[in-house]
Amino acid sequence: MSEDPHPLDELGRSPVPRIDESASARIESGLRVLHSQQRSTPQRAGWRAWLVAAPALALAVVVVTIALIAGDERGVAALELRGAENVVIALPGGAVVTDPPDGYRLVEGAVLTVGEGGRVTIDDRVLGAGAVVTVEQGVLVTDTVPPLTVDGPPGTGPTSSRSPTTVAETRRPQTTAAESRAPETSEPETRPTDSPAPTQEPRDPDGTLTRPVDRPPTTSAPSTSEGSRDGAGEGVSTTVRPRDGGRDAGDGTG
Amino acid sequence: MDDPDDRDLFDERALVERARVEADGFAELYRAYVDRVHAFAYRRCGDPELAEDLTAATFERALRSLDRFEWGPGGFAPWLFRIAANEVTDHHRRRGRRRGDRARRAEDRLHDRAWVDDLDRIEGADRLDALRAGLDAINPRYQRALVLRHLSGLDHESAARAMGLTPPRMAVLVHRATKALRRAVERQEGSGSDV
Repeated sequence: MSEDPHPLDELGRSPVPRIDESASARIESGLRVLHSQQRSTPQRAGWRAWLVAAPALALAVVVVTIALIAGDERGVAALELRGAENVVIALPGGAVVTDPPDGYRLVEGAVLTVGEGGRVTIDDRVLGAGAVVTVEQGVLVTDTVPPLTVDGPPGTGPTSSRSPTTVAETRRPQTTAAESRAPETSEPETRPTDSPAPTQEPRDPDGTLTRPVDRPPTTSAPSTSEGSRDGAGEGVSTTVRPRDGGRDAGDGTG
Repeated sequence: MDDPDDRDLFDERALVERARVEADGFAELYRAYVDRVHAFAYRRCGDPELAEDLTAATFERALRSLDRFEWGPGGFAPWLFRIAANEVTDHHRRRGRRRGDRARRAEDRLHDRAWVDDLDRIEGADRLDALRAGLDAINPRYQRALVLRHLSGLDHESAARAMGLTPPRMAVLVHRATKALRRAVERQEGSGSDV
């Protein structure tokens, strides 16, 4: 530093008059007033915080809006039906739509069932007979209820099974309510009367064909098999019965 | 066995914390620094009244920003002098904008300036005015670096802290700023002699 003193060092060492006492006191009193004002108006900090928060808030609004739009596009624009044949849709409110026109859109909670010989295209997905799908959170969910097996007569043995198509149709009886399809076969007719098959009774006497299929079939008492048949008969009158189900039974008996 | 500097910093930190909530605390902080800040402003502008205004503006801004002050290794001074340097620089920038180039040159011609190699030719206040005029002409960042390093009384590390730089980077900045100051004074000398 001694060989190359900075030119400003001289300025930095230059004598300085002391600040005027009255001026200093005036500044100090002004600062006291300002301090008390600041303490009494803490919203200034809030105002600054808003400066920071406002852009973040705007960004969040944009993100949420985009997410909602994207969600709408997934949930509403999708799930459009085409070429529906023998299709029944049970809406969440209880209404039933049969063979909806092209362009019909599934709403949240709707349960679509493709009847025998039917088919439908949902967006790019083709569903055949027996398919049962549900709209859950804007997504098409294939029903995972296990197939309902109905015991045939003793001769058929436990290997007599139903295809998922049959299951799909049998689990949706309440939606059809006999409004579009007449019963073709009745379960009691397919049931062996000489075989109580106590643990395989699929229905109870009070017409619970309208209940979901995932209800355990063992709920009805074996001792009321006759009554059960009667009840089933009543249910049949208002319920779609699978044609192949009857065929299975017929095969069993034949 | 306490280091007096550490103890001073500890006391100052407590004072700053008190100043956040009590007017008396801030008044005490003000009294502790007002002479240094005023000296800094006066050396930069050479005008006692303006130095008082700049001092007041510095402490007012410090008070308004005190909630955001975070205690650092150098204590309160680097933060306060950074505010002071900004106030001084902003003032000169505003003044330069108001006066315009022609007015500034006209004022400069009132001074018989020569610098660098001929500093010895210039006496007393004129020489210091030449330096101040040179500071006015360089970019604000260079101004802040030079005044913090040479007019504030801060040591190099504290000045670097006030600039938000590491000491080596501060040294580089001061070096460049000094060269810019030299060129500015020479340029003013040239323009003054042209007219």
